[in-house]
Amino acid sequence: MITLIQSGAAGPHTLAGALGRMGFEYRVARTPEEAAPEGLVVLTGPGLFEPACAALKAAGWWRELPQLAADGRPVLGLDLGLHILAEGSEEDPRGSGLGLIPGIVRRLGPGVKMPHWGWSPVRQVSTHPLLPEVRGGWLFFAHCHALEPTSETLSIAVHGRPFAVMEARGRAVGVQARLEKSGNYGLALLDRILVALGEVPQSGFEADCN
Amino acid sequence: MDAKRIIPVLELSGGQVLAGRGPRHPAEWAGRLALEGADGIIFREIPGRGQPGRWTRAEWIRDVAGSLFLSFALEASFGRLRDLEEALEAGADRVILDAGAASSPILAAAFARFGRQRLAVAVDAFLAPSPLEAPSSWRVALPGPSPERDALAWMAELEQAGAGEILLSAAPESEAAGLFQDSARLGLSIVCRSGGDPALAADALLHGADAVAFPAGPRTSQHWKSLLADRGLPLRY
Repeated sequence: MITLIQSGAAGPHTLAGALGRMGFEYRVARTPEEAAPEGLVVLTGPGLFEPACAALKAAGWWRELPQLAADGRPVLGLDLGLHILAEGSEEDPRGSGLGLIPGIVRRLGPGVKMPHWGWSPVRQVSTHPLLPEVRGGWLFFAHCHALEPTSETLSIAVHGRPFAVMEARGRAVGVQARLEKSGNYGLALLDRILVALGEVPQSGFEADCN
Repeated sequence: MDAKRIIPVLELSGGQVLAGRGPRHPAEWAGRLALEGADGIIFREIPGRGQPGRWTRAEWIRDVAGSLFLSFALEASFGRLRDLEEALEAGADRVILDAGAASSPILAAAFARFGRQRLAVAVDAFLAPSPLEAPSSWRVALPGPSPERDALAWMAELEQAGAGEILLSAAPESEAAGLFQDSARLGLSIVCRSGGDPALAADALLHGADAVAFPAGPRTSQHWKSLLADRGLPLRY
């Protein structure tokens, strides 16, 4: 069963709706005590880095997430969730991230409209044995900061400069795009990522992911 | 390059869709618009029409957020910061403030709480004739005792105050290409609020607007895209 972390007042409404539509069982958890005993843990945005980290610390997730990852639980960070899984963010230079994915999240630009709010074409730059490839699809983004691509980055998009769209280190996976806001293509990609991370949908979901 | 976004605007009152035919619940309408190729949806609250209170704002936003897999924004008259917080916490991706809220402390407070990603401001610019031989200028009228303002200066001020996007209407639309060109240099996303003429909207997009918002109903998003594609604009299919 998937655990959706809810930190702050807003619930992960659209992601929960997407999981329901795709047939995945999930539980929304405000604290680690409310998490499912096994399965994927998902950390998602939107939000600001510093208050999101503070909320995770207050709820006990900050200590729990690295422990869960060390125990082999898959962790998926979406949008701001990817930033929190990284080592830190220019959005809060004095703070730090969880360090499950290497790299510092940096501000996009210069010389581009901010925030980056729109549909961008995404390009696969390396492959992963389990995770799906992104082939010629448009994904939706809503952010001012992103990880810079490295030789291990799986896919990239461009807003002023190339930025990382999908990263994976062990069973920690991060996606910058708002997959749950990217229409059928985003849902199909999310479905395949969830399956790759060990989740099994209770009912079939069919959408074009080519 | 990002796709130019094609965004239908659905008018609501009392939580119900005001369009003449079709379902009244915003989530049902939104699903239909998504199937028709929308890249996002704007819900625009029109106060004082329809049956009041059929669904509360938080209720219908939660319903839309749970079933629409596109970004959506709520354009409304947000009199208090709490109204705006409620909409975002219920699942709206963005709120669009009117001139009243944007010229009040609400914008700065919302920026501090949510960041500019989630804040847009509606700006209604009009072409004002200038005296003597000076060229006409684009102006905005703000509520209260404030005089009219220069539209570009006002948008630059909004960007500084925390707006992440401007929903820009221009009257007359037929002369607004230069306004969109100048607005595009402000460093934030500009959405052209169209009266429904794709040819004029295409001019705005070709001059730097990032998206077009048009009244839902007469044409589908796919129809808009087919018309705009003829002008060589990058679009998502």
